[in-house]
Amino acid sequence: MKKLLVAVLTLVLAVSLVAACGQPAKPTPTPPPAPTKPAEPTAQPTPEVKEPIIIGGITDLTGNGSVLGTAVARGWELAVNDINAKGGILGRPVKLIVYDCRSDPQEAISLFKRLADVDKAAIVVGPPFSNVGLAVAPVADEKGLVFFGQFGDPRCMLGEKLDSLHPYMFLVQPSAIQTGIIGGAYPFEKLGLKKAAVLVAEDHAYCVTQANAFLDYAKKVGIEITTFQKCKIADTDLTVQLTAIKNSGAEFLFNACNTQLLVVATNQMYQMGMDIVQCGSLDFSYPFATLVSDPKAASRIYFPVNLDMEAPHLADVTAAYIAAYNEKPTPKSWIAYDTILVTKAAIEKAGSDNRAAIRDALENISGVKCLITDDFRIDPKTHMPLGLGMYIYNIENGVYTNLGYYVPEYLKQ
Amino acid sequence: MNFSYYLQLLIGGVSNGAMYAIIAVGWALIFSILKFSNFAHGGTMVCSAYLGLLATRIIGANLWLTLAVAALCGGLINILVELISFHRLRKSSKQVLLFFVSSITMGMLLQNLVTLRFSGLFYSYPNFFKQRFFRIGNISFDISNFMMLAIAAVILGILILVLQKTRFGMAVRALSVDPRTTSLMGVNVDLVVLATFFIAGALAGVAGVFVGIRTILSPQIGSMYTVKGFMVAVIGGLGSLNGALFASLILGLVETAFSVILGTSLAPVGTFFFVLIFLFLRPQGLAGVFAMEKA
Amino acid sequence: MSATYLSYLYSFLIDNVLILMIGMLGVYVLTGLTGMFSMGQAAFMAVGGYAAAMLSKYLHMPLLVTMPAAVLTGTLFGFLIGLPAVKLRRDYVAIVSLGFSEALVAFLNNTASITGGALGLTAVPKYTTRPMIIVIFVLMILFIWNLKNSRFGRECIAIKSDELAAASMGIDVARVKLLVFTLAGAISALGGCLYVHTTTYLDSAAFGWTQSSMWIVMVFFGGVNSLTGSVFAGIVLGLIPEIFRFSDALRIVIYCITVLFIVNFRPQGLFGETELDRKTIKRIALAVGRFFKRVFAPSQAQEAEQG
Repeated sequence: MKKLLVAVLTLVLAVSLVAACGQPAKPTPTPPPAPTKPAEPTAQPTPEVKEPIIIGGITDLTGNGSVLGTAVARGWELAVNDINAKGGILGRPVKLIVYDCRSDPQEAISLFKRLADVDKAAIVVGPPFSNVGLAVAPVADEKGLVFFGQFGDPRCMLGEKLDSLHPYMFLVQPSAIQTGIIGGAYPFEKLGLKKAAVLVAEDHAYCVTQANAFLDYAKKVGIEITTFQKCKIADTDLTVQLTAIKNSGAEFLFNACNTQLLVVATNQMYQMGMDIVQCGSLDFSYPFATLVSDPKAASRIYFPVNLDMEAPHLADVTAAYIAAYNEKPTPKSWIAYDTILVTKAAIEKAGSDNRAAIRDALENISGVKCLITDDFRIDPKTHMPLGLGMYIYNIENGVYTNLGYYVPEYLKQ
Repeated sequence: MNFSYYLQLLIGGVSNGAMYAIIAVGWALIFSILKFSNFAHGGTMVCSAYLGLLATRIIGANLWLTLAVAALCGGLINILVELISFHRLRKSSKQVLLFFVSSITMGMLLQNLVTLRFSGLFYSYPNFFKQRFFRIGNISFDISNFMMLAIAAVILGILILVLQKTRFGMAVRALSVDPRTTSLMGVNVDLVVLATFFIAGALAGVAGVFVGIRTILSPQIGSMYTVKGFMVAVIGGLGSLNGALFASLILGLVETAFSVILGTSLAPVGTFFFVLIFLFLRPQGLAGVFAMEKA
Repeated sequence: MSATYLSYLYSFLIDNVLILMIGMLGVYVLTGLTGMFSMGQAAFMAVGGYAAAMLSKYLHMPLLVTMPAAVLTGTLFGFLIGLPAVKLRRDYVAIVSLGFSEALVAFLNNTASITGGALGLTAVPKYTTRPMIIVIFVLMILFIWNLKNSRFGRECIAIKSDELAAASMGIDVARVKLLVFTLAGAISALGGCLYVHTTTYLDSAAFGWTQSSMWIVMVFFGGVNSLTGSVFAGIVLGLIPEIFRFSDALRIVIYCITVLFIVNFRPQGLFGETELDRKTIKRIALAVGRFFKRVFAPSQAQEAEQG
């Protein structure tokens, strides 16, 4: 019996190992195409030995943010593969080294140091988690290595009082503050709704930043906040919050939650017969509408996305993504793809993989053609992208419609 | 407005309780019989929830078929859990905490395997219901919540019947008192334990599907909700099955009540003090009988 | 295996592993020594971390103030939570500490204007250096070592083995348990203080129940009664995910399988009840010496044995 058991144990563990190894969708960085082919003794000049340019990546592959983190890692990987297929950067191949930080700031700090000191990365791309950006920011300055990510919190770039600048921190997408203002301004400016309720996932940094930005905006333009409700990521029942919102007489709901809570809230609102307008962030984008229990529930929703999701130039990347990972990409993956494209432009502008040169190049970069926009520019004062178009999307009966480019009057001033 | 407001809150509390119940029943089954907690319960739950999802994708399973598939998978996974993380320990050690170490690692392993395969996108079950809710006046009822509660109660009833009335049940109860004597009486203890684990795993599978219906599937649903299951199973009376059901409902209602009184944000603080006071006033748990304690 | 990689591993060992292990030492006192089971021990680390972070950030206090303050806060909370916990059944201690950790997170999120909540507290002064962490770590181990070998430590072990018998021998079980709970809170809080002054960042999500349970795993992996075993296990288990970093997908799987194998095939833990003290080291050295003798000079060894 004992021996049998040992055998069974070993077998099972081995099987699980193999099962894990055999995952098709494993987001490990692909090795670059062999950088140095053994020079064949031909008459042709022997190809120069070229060191790969190393791009580091920190994201969450196995922790609490694994779903978003993996989507991002795949976007990077796809972009690096495409770049290598077209001859690399500055004629050199690109090697992407992605590390899993499990959404843990402490681990992220160590990984950043590892990428800086051991792997000699030229630049590091980052995940859509602000806590990682906030924790790493001082280290990035200390190491003199750019950390270029999708952090929502502008404190990552501008310090805690938003009055200084971390020289080596850069953001690739509009900050949560911008998203909060644009998302919340649309119902007010375009739909003429004046009374808002706010629902926020208080244990989710991005959501809190976004909600605070909206509250701030609402105060300035005179939107009446009827009620401010908080929930937690693990909540599966929002009756208390939604009942309060329903009874508060709000005309629209600013829903600052992550995808999971958005689904729970939308399902329950539908059941409770609440048909008020909802607005929020990127988290409403695909796959949100496919996740709600009834397509009819996903209605009267407006949210900003920084790219036109039906744009024809996305089709190639989307097809490649589906071919590689057997899943549809989310906007997070597209933005990750763009992060690498902008990185490439910065390295090319810098002319080498010198870290400081890349930083200087990235700080003043403009006119990069990528998926989000034809003209990606960084504001040297904030290290955040400038003038990124936000398209407002509408969901009715589970169908996404692009309502076009939108800049709130408030931001134009 | 007031009456319907409180009624809607009451329904919300009950539906929360129903979710705790369906998680806690499987948990309490292991606890009441083997006197230790299986912290891999969440891992089993999330694995079978995703396997149930595959069933809906590949063969287009309806609710009942999905539940059956998830229950079967959960049962089989739990048998593996028993063989890998409990089997040897049950024989060689009396340290209850070792079971904790072993099972929590196993749960981590299971969750990690799911993460490897299914990260990248959130998933949800297709809509199983023609009409998922009905409304009377201002008040809406979610059918899946009531189904969850009903299924938890029915399963519990059946379990209690089986435990009280059948030979198998007698063997299980004997085992929970003294495994050694039981085996001397000609009961195949290993088989009975495996069967218990299978049933608990099946319950975890059912719970996984319902939690998935309530929210969406992410590899973390296991670790997010099982601690609540543990809490409920212990408060319910240290392994009493019906105690767990009532404890779930009470916890759901208390949480909702504190959400209204203290605000949703501070509700856990209120719940903490409630649990503390409750444990003081009724240290024997809800069920009221001290289970045998393994030193 | 380059020199830069080794120096990175060294910094990882100190900045990540050792600091979290100071938190684990609290679990050792609580679980390894006294047999109580706390699923919210990491919350005490958070308590210490927040106390130190807020004092140094808002009041610009130096480490000499923040560290004692963090330990005091940990002591206070350990006492407050221990007070009801030790009066309850053993199983309930886990529930009470778990509830406390959830309540603490809720409280932190609700006082976000001061504590930062989920947004986190940034720009906490960095006070620690690596030698300092090592020194504090070693001092803590010496302290617990002495504690274990003191009268109080023996009382703890007696309670773990058999509460009833310990009580009948005249040990005030409730008092000892309360002291242990308080002490564990203080130790974990010290870990939190070092954590926040090393990472300079803290948010409310950092210390959930998974961290607490990882600590319990470490204590058991090393050998429940063995302090050196727990420390050894902490280092090994802390480094495994890092060493297997080349496979991000599998490193947690490898970690889990290692733990499962040890728990299954050596349920007393790696070191069992043995401490790596002078006597054991001597025994090991002798055994190694004999082994080498036999390998390199078999004839002599045989003669020696015959003679």
